[in-house]
Amino acid sequence: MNLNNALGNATSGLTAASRLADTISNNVSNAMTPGFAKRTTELSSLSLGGFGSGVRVAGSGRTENPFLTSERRLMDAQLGATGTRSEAYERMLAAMGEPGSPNSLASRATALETTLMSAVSSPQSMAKLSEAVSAAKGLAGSLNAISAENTRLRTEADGEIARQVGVVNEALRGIDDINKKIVTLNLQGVDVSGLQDERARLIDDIAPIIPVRTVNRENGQVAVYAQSGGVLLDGRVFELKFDKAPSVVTPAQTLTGGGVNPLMQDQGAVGGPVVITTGSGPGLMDGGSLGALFETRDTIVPGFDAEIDRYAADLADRFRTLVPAGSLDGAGEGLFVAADPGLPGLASRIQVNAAVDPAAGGAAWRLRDGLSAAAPGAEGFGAYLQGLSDAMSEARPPAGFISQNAAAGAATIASEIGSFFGGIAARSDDDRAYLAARQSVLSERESSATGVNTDAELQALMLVEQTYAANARVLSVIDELMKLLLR
Amino acid sequence: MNVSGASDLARLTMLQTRAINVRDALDRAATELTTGVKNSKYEATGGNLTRLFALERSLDRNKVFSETVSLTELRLDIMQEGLGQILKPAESLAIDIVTATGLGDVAASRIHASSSRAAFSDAVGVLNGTVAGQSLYAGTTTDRPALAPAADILAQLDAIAAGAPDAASAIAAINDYFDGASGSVPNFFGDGYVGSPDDLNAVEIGEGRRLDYAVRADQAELVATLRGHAMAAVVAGGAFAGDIGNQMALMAEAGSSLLAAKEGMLDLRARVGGSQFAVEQARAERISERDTLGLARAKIVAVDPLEAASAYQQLQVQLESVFTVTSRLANLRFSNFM
Repeated sequence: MNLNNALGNATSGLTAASRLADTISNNVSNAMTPGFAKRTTELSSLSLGGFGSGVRVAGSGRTENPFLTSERRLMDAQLGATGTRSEAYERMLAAMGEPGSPNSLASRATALETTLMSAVSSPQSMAKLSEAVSAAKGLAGSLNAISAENTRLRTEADGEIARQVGVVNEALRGIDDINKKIVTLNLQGVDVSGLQDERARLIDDIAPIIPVRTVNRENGQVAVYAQSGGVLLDGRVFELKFDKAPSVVTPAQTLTGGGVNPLMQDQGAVGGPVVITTGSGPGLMDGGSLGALFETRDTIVPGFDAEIDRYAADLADRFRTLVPAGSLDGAGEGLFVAADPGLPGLASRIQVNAAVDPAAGGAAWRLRDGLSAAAPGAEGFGAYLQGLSDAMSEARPPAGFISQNAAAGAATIASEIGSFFGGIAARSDDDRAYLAARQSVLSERESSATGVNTDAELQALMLVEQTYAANARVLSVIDELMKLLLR
Repeated sequence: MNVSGASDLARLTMLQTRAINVRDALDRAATELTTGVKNSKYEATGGNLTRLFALERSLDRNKVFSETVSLTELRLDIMQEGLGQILKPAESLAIDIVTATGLGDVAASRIHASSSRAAFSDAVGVLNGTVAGQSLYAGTTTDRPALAPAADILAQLDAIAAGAPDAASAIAAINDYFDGASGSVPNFFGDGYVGSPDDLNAVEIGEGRRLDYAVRADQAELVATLRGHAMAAVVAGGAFAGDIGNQMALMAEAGSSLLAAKEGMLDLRARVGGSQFAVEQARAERISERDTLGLARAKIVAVDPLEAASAYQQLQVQLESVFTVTSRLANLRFSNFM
């Protein structure tokens, strides 16, 4: 043991203190950086030949809590899925209108019913007849608008799938890239925590889209799997592939009928990318917003659309079969007509018979005198109007509807549709609220566990200050001793 | 959760989340407070929106029924009044004419004949009456009067009477005119009544309640009264002038016809009275129905203002507390004490 050794010990103490201060300042400066994990500096004692020979900076670490992070990522996915579904329902319902609001489908149907009733009691009133015609146009317009919104929803879901597939592929390539850099830098012994932060952020980008699990591989690499077992990245990127529909996704375009594409993945097969079942729940990439988007495009919206189409068909049928034969037009059509009476997309085509529509060259009095009438008949003639009013409110067994269980009039059927899908939407809204709360708790806990607490950092800084001062004091004392020896 | 152990970022997000949550709740409470209606109709109905919708639809229908009731009430009132105006002179003239002809009082009979002619014109005037511009007794052609002008009908009758050789054939011809029988030209149904042969539609005055109240001017009861007046009116119009025997025979027929027609008129008025009663009852029913439905609807969607106000105040205090905590925590930093 000699003074030189002591001098070396004190110097190593100064170096360690500087490194600690460096880490602390870095942590404090990143206290508000989202996704920044607290850095730690690891120290170990050095000994030479059984004698202590100072302190050594063993390396720097990055605080991690794999359990919380992985839980939070799964919650991100669930929230992403519920959010997507809930938004789709919200928009479907917005197009249909909340029960009670004057622009809702049910209110429009009631308006047609009541204006027809009004017209029955005053068949000579042009105002009442016009009101009934415009109520009928309002109802047809409402159906058209709902159908148009459904088409928009599916088209947007299709586009969003393409975008999210792009995000996932981009992130996966980024992660793969970082994996490779980390391997190289690890071998060189360079600090890679910045890269790890970046990689964690990229995995977080994927998390809401596809629920992910990460597995640590040798040399600091990670492999990324989907929760339900699909491989996304393990040694190489298993890219997803999706072609979005060229233009608008109409009700006739379905996965089975063609016109929209499934999700594909490059799994290394000779024949190129293979189709992956998505949106059904147990699909390989399901569980996040991507699966929910497929569900929206292929199940949720088409289900609702079909119901609206059935409603349009029921409406047209009521005014064709339940009214007096004399009130039909020459072609045997009633108040509501559609260019193509086929079911898919009927709601988008249904419109008021041109014979009564003043905007299409018709006249409102034909509602009273029959759609094929050439000239106005007796002013007080109300039998056909009564027939129309009765057709609207006649309770019929619902044919094919999924939201109905009892015979009902047209207005009641509309409200049942609203109530049925409103219920599903409200439940998915509740789910979203619940998951959002859970997600924020989890992400707070994760952030508490891995984030920077400036108070704790500053306390550590005080210790560092003392250590530094002590080491410096040791140096100056040794200096004194040296001087004493040299004198 | 241990706040002091949390990272700065976690603490910040936590405080932000709480403030946002409370603010959201405050916004919702403010909407409920100002609109008086619950925010979530889904929650208000326990998930059964159809219940609420059914009430609203019933309220809408109730409104239309009420309008129909008011309209029908007015028509029936005017109808009852009009029928009374026809019945009253017919009643008194029937007795007067029967008395006068029984006594052989020619002078009185002549006066009654003129009164009858006037009563005939009045009756035609009443039957051509309108409500809000629509004919009451013309069937479905509400844009036209029910009958030709009284003068035209009387001219036709005068011509028929003038062409008859004696009272008996005049009576038969006038009866034919009013029966419209054997294609007699002119006749009442072809030339007198110009309305539609179709009745006005029954009106809906409640759920499943249809009221068929229409009365047409060519209805048998009214035609019988007109016929009675017509027998006397032609006398005043100059038929068999100077031939007292034939004139008195016509007057006697007029008296008995009017007497016979009275029963029918009373029946008709009773029928209209029955409709009036039904409409009156429907009005009371619709009003109580509207109140009941409105109350039931309010029970589901309305918010108690007191409750809403206190909830709002509670949330306001809560938000202020969150702000206070936020600012206190911001000051509680180790760096401030170093």
